[in-house]
Parts: sequence; C-alpha cells; structure tokens
Amino acid sequence: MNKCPQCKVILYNHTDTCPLCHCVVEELEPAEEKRAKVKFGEGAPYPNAQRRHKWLRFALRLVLFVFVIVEALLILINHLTTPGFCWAAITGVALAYGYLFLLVWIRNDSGFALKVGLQILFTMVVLYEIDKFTGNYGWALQWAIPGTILLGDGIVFILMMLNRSRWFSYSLLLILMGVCSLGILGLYFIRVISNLVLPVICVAVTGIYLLATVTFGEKAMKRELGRRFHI
Amino acid sequence: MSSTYRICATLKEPVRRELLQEAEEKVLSQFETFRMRLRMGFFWYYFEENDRKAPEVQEESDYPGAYINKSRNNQYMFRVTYYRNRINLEVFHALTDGFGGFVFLKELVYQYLRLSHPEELAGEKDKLSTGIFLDPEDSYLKNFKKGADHSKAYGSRKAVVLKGEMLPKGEVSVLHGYFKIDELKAAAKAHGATINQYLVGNFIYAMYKEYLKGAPSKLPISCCVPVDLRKMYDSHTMKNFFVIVSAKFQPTKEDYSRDEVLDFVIATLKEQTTKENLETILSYNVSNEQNKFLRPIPIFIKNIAIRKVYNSSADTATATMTNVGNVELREPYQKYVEHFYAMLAMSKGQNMKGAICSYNGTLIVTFTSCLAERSIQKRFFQSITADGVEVAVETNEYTEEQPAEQPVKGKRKKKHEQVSTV
Repeated sequence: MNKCPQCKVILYNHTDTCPLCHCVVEELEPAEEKRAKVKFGEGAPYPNAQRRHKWLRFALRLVLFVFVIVEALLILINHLTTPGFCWAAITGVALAYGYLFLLVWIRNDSGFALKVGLQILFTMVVLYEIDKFTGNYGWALQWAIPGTILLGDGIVFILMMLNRSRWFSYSLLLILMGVCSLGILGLYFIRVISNLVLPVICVAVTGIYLLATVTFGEKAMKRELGRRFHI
Repeated sequence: MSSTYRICATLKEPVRRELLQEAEEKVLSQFETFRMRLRMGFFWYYFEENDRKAPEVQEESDYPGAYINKSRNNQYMFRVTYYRNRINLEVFHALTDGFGGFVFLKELVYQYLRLSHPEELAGEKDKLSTGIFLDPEDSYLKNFKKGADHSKAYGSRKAVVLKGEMLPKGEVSVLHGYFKIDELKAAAKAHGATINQYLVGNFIYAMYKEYLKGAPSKLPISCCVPVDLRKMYDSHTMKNFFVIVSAKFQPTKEDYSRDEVLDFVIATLKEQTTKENLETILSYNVSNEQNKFLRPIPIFIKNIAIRKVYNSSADTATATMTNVGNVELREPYQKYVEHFYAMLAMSKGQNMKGAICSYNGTLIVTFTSCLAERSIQKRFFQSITADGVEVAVETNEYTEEQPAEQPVKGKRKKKHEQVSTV
C-alpha cells in the first residue's frame, strides 16, 4: 500500500503515482500498512479489461480491412475484364451486407427470431435492388424473394424443432412469413409479376404451417399471441 | 451505456468458480424475480418466466456495468462473475433495484459460503434465510394515486453536463473510496448533515470547484438521488420501487464556500424528500403506463417517443449519487466477507456516477466515470480528508504487479530484482 502526500489518501493500487493527482506516492511503512489493512480491510484488484476490448475492436477492424481490400481487388478485376458491366458493385453490396450483419449479430441483443426476421426482410430488399441494378429482369420478385420466403419457412421449422420446448417463440416469425407470402401473391393480382406458381406455393406452405401450429399448439399459441399482442 | 448496476461482495478468500456456479443455480431456483426474461410484444415489453439453465458464472474480464447480452446469457437479465476474492452481481435495472439485488447477492454469498465451508457452517440450514421477502408485487401500481397532480414531478430544466476528454468507448473508470462510518458520521454532524447529504454535498462541491472552477453558471449542477420507497409504503417488493429526486446547486456568484454549497444541497434534498413530493413523482412514473390513449400505440412507435424523451432529458441531470444503505450479514457468515460495494453504469448525459454502500463499519463510495480526468474525485476526497476523515482509495486500473502468478514487468520489476539481488 502507498500513500499520496498531496491528497493524503491511502492507495491500494501498486502504482508509482496517485490516481487522483498524479503525485509520486510514498510506500507505507509495514506497521502503518498493517494498521491501514486492519482499519479498511484488503483491497480487491481488477482484471485487465482493456485487453479484451482492444482485441474485439481489432478483430472487427481486421474483417473490415479484408473486405475493403477484397472489394478493391474486385473493382480492379471488373475494370480490366468486363468494363461494360459493373458487377463489382454487386459484390460491394454483398460485402457491405455481410459486414453489417456481422455487426448486428455480434452487437445487437435482440432475440434470435427478430434477428432472423430482419435478416430475411433485408435479404429480400437486397435481392430486389440487385435485380433492378442488373437490368430489372424481374427475377427477384418472380423467383428469388418467394424462394427466400420458403427458406424462411424452413428456418422457422428448424428453429422450432431445435427449440421444441419454446417453439411458440417463433410464431411471430411464421406470421411474418405469412404476411410476406400474401404480399407476393398480391403482386400477381396487381400484375407486377406474371408467374403464379411460386407465390401460390409460398402461401400454401406458410398457410399449412400456420394452420398446423394453431391446431396442434392451441394453448401455447393462444398464450403466446395473447402476450405478444396484449394492450 | 447500459441500464445495469453492479453490486459486489469481496471475501477474505479466493472465489472458486464451480462452487459459485452451484450456489447461483441453487439460489436462482428460488428467486422468481431473477428467473425472468424480457420479451418484446407488439405494444409492450413484458416479463416471462425463464426456465433455461442458470447463466454461466465467468471470471470477470470486462468493465463493470458492461451491457448484458441476453442472447449470450441464456436470456437472463443478470450475470454473476468473479475475480480473485470478489463476487460480482450485475443486474439490468428493469429487473430490480439495489434492494432486490442485495437480497439476491446476500443469499448467493450465504449459499457459496455454505458450500465452501461445510464443516464450519454445518449448523446453518441449507436454504434461503428466514425472514426475507420474495414478494414480486408491482408496488408502483399498488400505491399510485389516480388523478394526482404530477405536472411538477420532474423538472425539464437543463443542468450542467460534465464534459472533457473521454475514455475509449466501452471503458469505465472505477474509483472506490473506503471510509470508517464513525469518522464520516462525526464529520457530517459537524456540518449539520446526514452522511448521505454530506457525501452528495461534497460531490456537488467537487463538481462546482473542478468543473465550473468556482464560477457562476446559468445552469445548475443537478445530482440525481434515488429514494427507496419501501419504508414509506411498507412494501417488501423484490421489484423496482424507488423514485429519483435531485440535489441542485446553482452558483450565482463567485467562490461559494463548501459550507454554503452543503447548505444549498441539504435544503433542496429536504424540500424534495417530503411524502407529498415523493407521491407526486410516483404518480407521474405510473401515469403514462396507465394512459388509455398511449397503451394501444405499437411498441416501435413508443420506443421512438421514449428515446426522444430520454435524449431530451439527458441533459437535465449532471450526475447521480445513490446510497444502497448498510448491508448486514448473519453472524456466522460475517467473518468470511471483507466488503460490499455498489456501482452504476454510465447513461446518456451523465458521465460520472457515485454509489454508496456500507458494511461492518466501513462505508465505500464508488465513482464510475467515462471521463479520463479524475479532478472531481480528487476534490471530493480532498474535501473529506480535510475534515479529518481518513480514506483509502482503489481504482480499476490494471497494474502488471497485481497477479502473483504472472511475471512482474516494467519499472517495478527492476525494483524487485534489486531487492532480491540484495
């Protein structure tokens, strides 16, 4: 233990200077140290938390750095090989998407279902934008987004199976898939898309799935929805 | 920034992880209030019983009050960590306040000690202490008065905000000050104050002298002081039940003396801790929840509004100083425990907070701050030592000399090498 001659405080930390005034401290005599310990008790030091924070920051910056380098290389290759078609923009969006979701999954504390739901929605938006960017052929709305909805149904099924005791936690995610399915079917009726097959499959799969959860999990589902929509 | 607080017990022996884990599992199974998870509904957040495994006890590796990532904590809203002799309990404030936190921590310590000293504590029953209350009632709802005028519950006037060089994001500076209660009581009495008023007053004086440099200010220094309502309403709830009053001091001229500042602080605290005022604040806290027009608004809109209110009210308080009171342990356990203390995490607009806790004749004031400078803390301790009170100080600064098992580096190493050579 030390003592600061300026602040007149006893210091538990093994430092050369006072943490309050930065004055060089004096070591307590053994008898004085013993008296202080009897009076105030033993101190309780802290671990080196700074190291952990530095590593986390470094890891995220390293990933960002690698992504930037990769994208720069892709832009260069794009320019040298196919200057007429800017496909490097798509890879850029994909890398930014990947980094954004890495941050969301690491830092965001939302529930698993919410993160999955947001990721599915964002994936649909990214697919739609890529389609628009590459000539607006309509593949995103016709195939990719309905495919994402079916993938979402599959993810909900896997999550419910993996977490059987709390399967109802994912019911809102399933309802979201239902809303998206109806939305994509609606696009057919307002003539935005011409292919009816995948939207109908989406509505049928999600609808049957929802019906099954309501039928077989009557009480749990009712309780879950009651809580979620309690005013 | 997080709404988390940390309460700690330091033992007189190193903590063993596996025993602490076992103790946590046993105690948690009996504490319904802590066995909860927070879920998001369409209109409200709500609590739901959490039947997952108890969160894993881990060795402390982060700064106090770091955000509790629920998805990595089995959805629990508290975590138990340890470091050497210290057991840390960090609690998300939505779960319970310091009172509830200490009830849990004490039972955790009792259980841990029964596991680590089975022979010495053989006479102790392996169950929760008799006489503690595990009441999960919402005392806010139970005690609030409908129709009470709460227009003046909280002021919206801006206050001084402590600014300066900040620590890197996520880092927190912790500073404990150890006092003997009898010395502190005598010093407070000499100034005509209670210990709480004396400490809050000195804190405000330190901010006035070090941040405002003793100059007049258009804005007041406002220090939030949480007040426990349990005694007033005869409540034994394990959930949150407190309101916040503000100790205020606005310098209108140059160089107020410490006694003048203390007088201002004592007066504003007395003025606000009346039954009527506390009832008004309580009613205000509940009124929005009860509002028929606000209830059906979807949560994402409520969140936007709440964030806006939170951001706009962030600069209405300079700091917080909370007193969690005196911790008492049952006799056979006392000899194993050295200290108890508490600390608060940072929140928007408040870059420094203090927490007071006492145990076994020693009172510990813990300052947490995200400011790199410690001039306010320095002035605070210097003011108190000037009253003849001896103080010992400890920080969370890591020094290479700390761990006995690690090689000693740097300046100190040379010193030790010289000693050993001699």
